[in-house]
Amino acid sequence: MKIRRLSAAIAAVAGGALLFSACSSPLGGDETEGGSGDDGSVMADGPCKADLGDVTTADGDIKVANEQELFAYNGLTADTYSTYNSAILDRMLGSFYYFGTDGTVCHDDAWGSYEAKSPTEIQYTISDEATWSDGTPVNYADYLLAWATQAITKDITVTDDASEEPLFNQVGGLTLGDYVPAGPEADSADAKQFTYNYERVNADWEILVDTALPAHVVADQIGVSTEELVDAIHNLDGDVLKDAAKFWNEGWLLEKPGELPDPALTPSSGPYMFAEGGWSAGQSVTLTANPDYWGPAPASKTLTFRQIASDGQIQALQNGDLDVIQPNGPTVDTISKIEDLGDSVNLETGQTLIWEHLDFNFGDSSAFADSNGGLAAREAFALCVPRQKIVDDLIKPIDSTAVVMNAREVFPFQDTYEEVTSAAYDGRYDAVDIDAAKAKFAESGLEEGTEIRIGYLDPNPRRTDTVSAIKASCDQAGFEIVDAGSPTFFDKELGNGDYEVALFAWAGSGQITSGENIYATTGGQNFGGYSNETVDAAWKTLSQSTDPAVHTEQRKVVEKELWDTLFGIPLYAHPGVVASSSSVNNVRATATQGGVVWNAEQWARAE
Amino acid sequence: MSDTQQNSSGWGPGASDVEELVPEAKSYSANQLVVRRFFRHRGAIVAMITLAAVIVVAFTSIGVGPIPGWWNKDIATAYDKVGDGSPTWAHPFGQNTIGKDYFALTMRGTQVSLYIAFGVGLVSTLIGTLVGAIAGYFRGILDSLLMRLTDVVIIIPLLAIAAVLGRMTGGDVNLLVLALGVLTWTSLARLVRGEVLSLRERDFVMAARAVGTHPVRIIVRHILPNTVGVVIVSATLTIAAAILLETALSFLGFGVQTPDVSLGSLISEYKNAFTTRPWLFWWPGLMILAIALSVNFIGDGLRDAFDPRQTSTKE
Amino acid sequence: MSFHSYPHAVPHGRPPVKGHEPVLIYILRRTFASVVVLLLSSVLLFFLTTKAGDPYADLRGSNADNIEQLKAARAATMHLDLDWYERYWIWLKGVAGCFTGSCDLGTTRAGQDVLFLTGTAAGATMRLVTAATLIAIVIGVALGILTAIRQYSGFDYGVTFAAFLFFSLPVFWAAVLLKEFGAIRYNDWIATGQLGPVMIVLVAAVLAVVIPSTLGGDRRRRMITGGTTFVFVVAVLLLLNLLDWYRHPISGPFMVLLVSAGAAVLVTAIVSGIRNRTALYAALTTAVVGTIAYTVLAFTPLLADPSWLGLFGLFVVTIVVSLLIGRIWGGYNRKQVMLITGVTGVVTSLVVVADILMGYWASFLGLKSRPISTIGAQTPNFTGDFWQRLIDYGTQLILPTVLLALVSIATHSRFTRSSMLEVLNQDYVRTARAKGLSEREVIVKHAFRNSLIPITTIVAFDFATLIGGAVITETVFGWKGMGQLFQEGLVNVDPPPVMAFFLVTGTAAIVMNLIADLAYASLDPRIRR
Repeated sequence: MKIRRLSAAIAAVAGGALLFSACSSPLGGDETEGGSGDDGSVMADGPCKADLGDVTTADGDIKVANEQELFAYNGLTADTYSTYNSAILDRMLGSFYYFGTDGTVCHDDAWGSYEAKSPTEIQYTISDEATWSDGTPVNYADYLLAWATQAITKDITVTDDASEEPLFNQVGGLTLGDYVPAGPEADSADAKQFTYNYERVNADWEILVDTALPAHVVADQIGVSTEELVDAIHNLDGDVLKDAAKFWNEGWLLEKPGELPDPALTPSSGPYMFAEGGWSAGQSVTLTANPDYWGPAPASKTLTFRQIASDGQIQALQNGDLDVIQPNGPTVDTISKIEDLGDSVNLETGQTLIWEHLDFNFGDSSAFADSNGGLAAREAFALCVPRQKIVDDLIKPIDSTAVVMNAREVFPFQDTYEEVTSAAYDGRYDAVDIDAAKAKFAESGLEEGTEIRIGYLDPNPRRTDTVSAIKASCDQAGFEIVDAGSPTFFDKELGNGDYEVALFAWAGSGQITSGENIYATTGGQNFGGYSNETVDAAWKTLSQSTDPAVHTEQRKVVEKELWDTLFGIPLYAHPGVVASSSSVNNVRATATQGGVVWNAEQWARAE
Repeated sequence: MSDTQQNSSGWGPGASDVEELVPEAKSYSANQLVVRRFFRHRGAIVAMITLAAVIVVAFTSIGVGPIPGWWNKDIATAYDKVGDGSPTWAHPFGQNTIGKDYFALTMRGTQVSLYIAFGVGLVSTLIGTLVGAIAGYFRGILDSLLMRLTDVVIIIPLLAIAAVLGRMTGGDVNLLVLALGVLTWTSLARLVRGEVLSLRERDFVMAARAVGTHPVRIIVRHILPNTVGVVIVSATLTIAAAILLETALSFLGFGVQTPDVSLGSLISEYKNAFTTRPWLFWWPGLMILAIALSVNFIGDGLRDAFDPRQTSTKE
Repeated sequence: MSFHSYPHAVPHGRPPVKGHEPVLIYILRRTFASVVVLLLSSVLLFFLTTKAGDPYADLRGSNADNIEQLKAARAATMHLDLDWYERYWIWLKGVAGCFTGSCDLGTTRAGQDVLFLTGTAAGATMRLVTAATLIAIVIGVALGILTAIRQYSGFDYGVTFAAFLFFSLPVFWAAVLLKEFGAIRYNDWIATGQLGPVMIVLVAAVLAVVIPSTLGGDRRRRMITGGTTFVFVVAVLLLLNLLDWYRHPISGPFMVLLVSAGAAVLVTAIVSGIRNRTALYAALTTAVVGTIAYTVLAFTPLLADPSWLGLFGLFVVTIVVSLLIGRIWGGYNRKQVMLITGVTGVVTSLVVVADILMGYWASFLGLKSRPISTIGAQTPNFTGDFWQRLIDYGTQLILPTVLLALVSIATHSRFTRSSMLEVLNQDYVRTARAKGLSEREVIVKHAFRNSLIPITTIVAFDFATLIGGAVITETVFGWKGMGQLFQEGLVNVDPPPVMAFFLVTGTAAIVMNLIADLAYASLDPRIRR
């Protein structure tokens, strides 16, 4: 049994935010071990993909588990966006960047490069070699179309404030158009270089320019030339744009599972492409190496995604039906079972970018509202929540690197975590202190035995256990903890304010600025109704800067204020697990939601 | 209650054990005969004792509601975990992930599951027998209507109804019992109807009708006792099935709500533990098995007792 | 609606059939009533589905800026802005299109065509459920009868215990065990394909206990049967080891002849009795002709590299030839003889297919060294010829089928046992015994047939329930079937896939009920006209 425990490893896939990005500065990552591992895997230097040198594609197939069916070649619509669809599509669609194992934005040099001339002027250059598998070069037209899908409204105008109804059903909405109303600018439709001029600074500029789908296919399908499509976008030609939107929204749906469309419709710009006849409905999707790929060649000729729920994955790995698995929601039993498989399997456990927390309800009906128990009551609660016991009992058996999380905007495995927490949090809630909690409880003026409903989405055994642990401790401080788990928690209780404490997780915490939605007074995800001027101001400063140093400074302000006024209590980063057959090298877990397949083109069958 | 004497006399000498009973028959009432026959069934006796033991232990150990039991640990407290939580003297059934006493949890699960199993068994058997008997006895338009109603209930998937009910009831166990009972009577109704269709043409029923006996009396006194075989098999299977149905619903969040537990919810929560922490799977599993098997053997005994014709005449 | 009956073949008394309605009218009337039932249920189910959860559940926890736009997009795709009855109407219009050739069962939330999804899902599920139902009927009924005959024996208790074990412990538990022993350990073992001495003794010992206890007899007889069984089984297993039979199973035309001739005798015995020499010779002729045809055809592409169409053609030819043989032998009861030769012909073709597959087993092992996968309906990217692919499908079908069948076997055996016990005590059975018929004749000729009547009800129910109940099996084995379709639809609060599931299971339930009622009629002598 070779167990590699990385401090920044894994992804688990759960519902949550739609965009996932780094919370910390670029570069970094904790393990800096270079060179080649003793098991034949190449160890990476930092969170980005390792440099494998010259790779020749070896015949053979590597089989990885995927829990759901492929939906669409265009996985960017609101209807088709899914982690499982992306797991497959991301292998055949290139991009300027990808997320490293700890969420760092890494550059794909084979694809091209980009450079910030100023905080509002970014120049992108696509590699000259970059072509779609049908021979058409990847160029400006593709990125202009990608921009159009995130900028043009139903009324064929460029968005004003991103709130209009969009023409294209893009999952990301109209944010890009809101910030860059002019769109990318270039000399010609087939230019390899173009510039984005931001109207105002966006802290998340690096990840705004994302996957581009083939514009020439869209043009071809609606009966215009690529140049005409480009002109139509520039001139806001409604007829062409409506046709383009119709095709973009629906034309790439894979409506009939098992039947791949005409290959001309789904060209690849990545290391893999659909294998002919490689889709068996509900069973598997096979990708084969893209012969025209100009970047580092994929290590294995084919890659097969087999559709199977988490429950069956370990035995399938044992039987050789799968080579790489990433079971969802791992428990201590998942780990024991994989460990029982011995040397034939490599196991990697670690933390993910999904973090669990307790949030207070600030509504008037709540005991924690400032009009009731107020800060003293929240402090009393924070003093009695056994965070260490929860992590020790529930998380450590799965991932021995697990720690109690003391921040909300940075994760324990990220570089700035130490810096931010030491500035924002003095360790006062590290250990349970029932006496202090009692004192605070008395100070709050709450009645002895005040009912505290901890709401969460049931069924979820781990959260049930978490509430049990809190009850065992906090009932001594004067609270009467009630387990208020419910299958309707998110659509009923949370919205109605029928809870005192909400127990749930945020995934990936979104972009650099995503926390603004949660903690700012007007934030859409500020369910508890928290309001704090210092926090609001800090977010404003943060989101208007592209400087990582400013981001870190403002995070410290936000975190400190959230601790001092007790918005809520962070608990831990969710554990994740990846297991792979020891005959496959270079499998590497990642904390992001991209999942273990993020570096699938590097997986190589051991000789 | 039973009408078997009348029937068997109408059928001439019955099975061998009935023949043995004939000389004694004068000194026993029909009910006494039933009881005597039941107690001759060794399997049924063992099953009775087992089930009684399960019930007594489940309810006395941790008590019911405010009444405390003899076991010194409860289901809510997370105790300090001993090792990996495997069974020890302090925690004979082991401990779960956060150290709760698994004996207490299993006993609470047994209480809830017994309630659900018998509740559902009762509701489903009552409805099924009633619908089947009425449809089969009165025939005609009533029969058609009841049977089409049965069809409607059969073809609507249980999970859909359960999901809706689950959202509305918020995990109330009584409503859960009612819902499961209301959804599981259909096959029994059809079986009973078939039996009744045949029975109503028999001599003893015709005779009763000829002398003007009220239909309700005919159904209750003459027909239903003769359907006891199929009713009991169906009821025993329903009781076992109810525990499992509740498991499936718990799994989706529509069954017993946490932090309360049932045997089914324990088993489904720890399904992945059965090779790694076997005690978490097997204790509730064994309890389910014990309940299902005892109910079945008691059912066997009851059937033989009520309807001696069903005992094999060989050997 | 007086067609139902659940009789115990009471020799006297008025049959419960009112009048003599022609079967066709009856079927039409029932079908009409069923359509009404389906329609009403569909309204109810559609309503329930739309209320079963929160269609935006996955978006609630989202932290995206454009969450309102995402919700609007979903509302537009799923018609969430309409009332449920308006959505139902849209759905119903699409379904009504099926009668005019433009079927539209709607799309899933992600835009996939539900009609197409249903096609593939139903295919997968039907493969599972049909096989499972057949196995469950045969084994369940057999166990039920044996346990009834040997009531309160050790065998009876053992089967009862096993039945409740599989009935009351969850499917996933059995699934994990099956995968461990049926796939992982089997695959490890087949690499060498030699049974160890412990295993041989164990298998022989188990059979040596089970077989005598089902055959019955006094203690001495049982000891003798047990001993003989033990020795025989050990000898056979040792021989198979020596031949490396598990990796290179051989049978060939001689075995085909032997097995199909055996089948011919059996079919004759059941249908007309072994004393009907004409029938026996006709059946044996069929078996011989079948074997000869196989030996010849094996060298032609028709069997060596076949297509489904070609195989089907051969199958049809087989049946025609078999019936012809029956007609030529003919005799005073030509129809019966033709039935016998027809069935024998079908059995012979199955034996031939089995023989071919065994022949290809060794080469299949060469292609796939671990033959039984724990997941999937087929091996992805499997490259083999027709027969090897067929073996691949077959091996992948075994485990989920067994799993599905386990629960049904438990139910069937319980009901058959009860029904059989009841029948065994009926007057006419006693009369048969009194006439001096042997116990075997009593059971086969009188009791068995009548005990089947209530079983038909259960089987009919079970088939429809299995389609829905297969969801866990489908999940753990990674099959995309009807159950998955239903569950995903329900979880996403997305009616079209749920309704598609309903159309299939509802129709199946109603058709099976109709068949069950017709089966009553054919099994119950009093309903015959």
